[in-house]
Amino acid sequence: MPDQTNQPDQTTQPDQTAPDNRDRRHLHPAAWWLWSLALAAAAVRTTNPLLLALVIAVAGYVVAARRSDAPWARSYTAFLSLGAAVIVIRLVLVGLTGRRLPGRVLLTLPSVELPEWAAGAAIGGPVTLELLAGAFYESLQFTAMLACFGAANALASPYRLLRCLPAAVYEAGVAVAVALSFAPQAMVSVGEVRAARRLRGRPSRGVRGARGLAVPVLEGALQRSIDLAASMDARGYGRRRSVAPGLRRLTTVCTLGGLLVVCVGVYALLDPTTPQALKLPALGLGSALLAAGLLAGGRRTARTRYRPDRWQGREWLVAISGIATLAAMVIADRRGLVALDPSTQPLEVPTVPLLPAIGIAAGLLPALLAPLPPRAGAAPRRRGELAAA
Amino acid sequence: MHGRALVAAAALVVLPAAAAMSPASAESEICVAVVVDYQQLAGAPGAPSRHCAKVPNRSTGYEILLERARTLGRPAPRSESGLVCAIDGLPERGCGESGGGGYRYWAYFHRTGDGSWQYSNRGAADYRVIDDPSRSTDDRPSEGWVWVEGGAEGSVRPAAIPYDEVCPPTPKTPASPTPRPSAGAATAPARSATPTPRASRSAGPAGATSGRTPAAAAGAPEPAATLANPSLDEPPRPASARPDGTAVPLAAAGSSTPPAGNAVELLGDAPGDGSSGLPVSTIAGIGVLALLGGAVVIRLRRADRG
Repeated sequence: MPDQTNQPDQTTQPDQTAPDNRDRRHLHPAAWWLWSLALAAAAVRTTNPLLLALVIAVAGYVVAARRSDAPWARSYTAFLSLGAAVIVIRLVLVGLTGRRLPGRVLLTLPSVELPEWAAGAAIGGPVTLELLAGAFYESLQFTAMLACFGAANALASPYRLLRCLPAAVYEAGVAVAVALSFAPQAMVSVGEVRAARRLRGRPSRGVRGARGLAVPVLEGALQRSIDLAASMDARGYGRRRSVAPGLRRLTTVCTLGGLLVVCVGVYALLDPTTPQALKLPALGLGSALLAAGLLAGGRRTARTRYRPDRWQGREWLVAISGIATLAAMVIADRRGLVALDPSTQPLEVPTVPLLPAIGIAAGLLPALLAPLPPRAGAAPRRRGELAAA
Repeated sequence: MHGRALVAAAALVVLPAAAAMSPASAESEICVAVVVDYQQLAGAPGAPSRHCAKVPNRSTGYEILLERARTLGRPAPRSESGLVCAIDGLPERGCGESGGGGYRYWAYFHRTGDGSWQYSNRGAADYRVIDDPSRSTDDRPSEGWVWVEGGAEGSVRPAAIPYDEVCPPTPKTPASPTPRPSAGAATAPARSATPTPRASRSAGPAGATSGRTPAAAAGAPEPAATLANPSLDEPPRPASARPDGTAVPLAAAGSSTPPAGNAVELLGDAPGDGSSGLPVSTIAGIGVLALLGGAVVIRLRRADRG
């Protein structure tokens, strides 16, 4: 008779009873994404550089406080570097071709005046502080959004997020997750092939080295993906339940119709001359249709979830803190706070308005409220399984 | 190798800059009539504002608005990516917002002589007003700005104020008793003898003097103005007691006079910039940012260690 003891095996879970590990768990990834998307939406509503820098700093602090030891947790600095590159590129381009208005000239580039048929614009010319300040504010806004996305990427495991996806897009999500896990493996195999070529005395660097590298790496990647597909197929991925043709047609109609209505609603929001009924009501109707289509489409995939993440009180707190930031920014916007859009022509010193600053500070709360992620090595992973982190 | 590249790059920047800074031929001064029609804008005076701007030839529309703001002592025009957002500080916030079935923005018009207003194809930063004052025609340039709301931009135009009402021609008799350099039967030679408030420009021909003189005839008591100060930032006539130079419809002459005590509206100075340096909230914001940055670094160090 098999041993049916229900006690946790002491050898595989040594740290679960340690006091500091009892409260450690993974937060539901949707909570992190809600918080970061709300923060990004708040960043979009202002071009005040101090407020935007505050958003970046808040996101950075929460990442530093609550990130786990997984490989993707180090990706925040990569997003910040990307944002810095965007700022530099934007400043250079605007310095070369921006609209020349009088201001404090920093340097004068050689200018080329285009002929009349090219609208008489000028390339080069005096680069003013006002011009650069305007470009800096706008690109800083984009960097703040990147920082929010980077924070969500660093804090929420992509594999756990995959589990939360609706069934209809689940298979696409699996493809993305597999790709995510293969990129580092491809790098490893590149290193192996290069070492093998060096041992054989073949060129391993430069153009000739790259040529000799490509085929083995691609072959290896193909072989690995075939093996993974076979193992996933053996586990039942990709099976489809049979569904009545009427339901299938309903799914298609709902999805396509929902997409069309959402497109109409988005256009109506941007064009001020469209009637009011086409704006938010159309968006709402389109979203409802899309949700119905997704739900109906989910009936075709049969899957169960092992230990799903539960949405508990801490998740509510994290999500609400992000939404509080967004609400503060929206209220300040409605009230017409001038400091949300500091003028660059004429150049003014940007001030920090109180309500948005308090709202962004509320975005810091997850650093205190969210539970700490479990320590690495607390529960050894079974080999061969996709790292569930 | 690096050093040579650096020297080459520096030469590429410095030499043309030096060439650009070498005194080009000074552009002659022209008189451009500027009409700003506020329409129903909240917080604006009821009547359209008119001003005769004396600017160098080939000035852009934005520079003309700047000269007008400087002369009248109003806030400088606010612009965002080339679009003029606010004139005289109105509207206080927003730039080309959508609403009421269209966009709400400052529409830009041109006119030569007394023709009809033409919607501009270029923005204020690109369009250059070109005039030849030595021509004896009556086609002098005018700039019009009108606030449009909703979808009315097809039909709304600035007020049809003739050029001569804004920039009257040279008067035959001295209208003002004040010994201004361009006063009396001032003609070009008298003009060129004294520095104008735009001291760097050479004196314009006779047609350019018309704008100044009749302003005194509008009745504001003006003390003897010492116009020997060539500073760009001081108003040409410092003493009109009228708080708003253009709200009162000027009977005879069109050129508006600046209000009293307006010497502080300099280009680039924010109205709230007060006494010294940065406002309190900015300093507090920078302090909070520094604190947060330090906290992040400390947190990262602690995580790496533990």
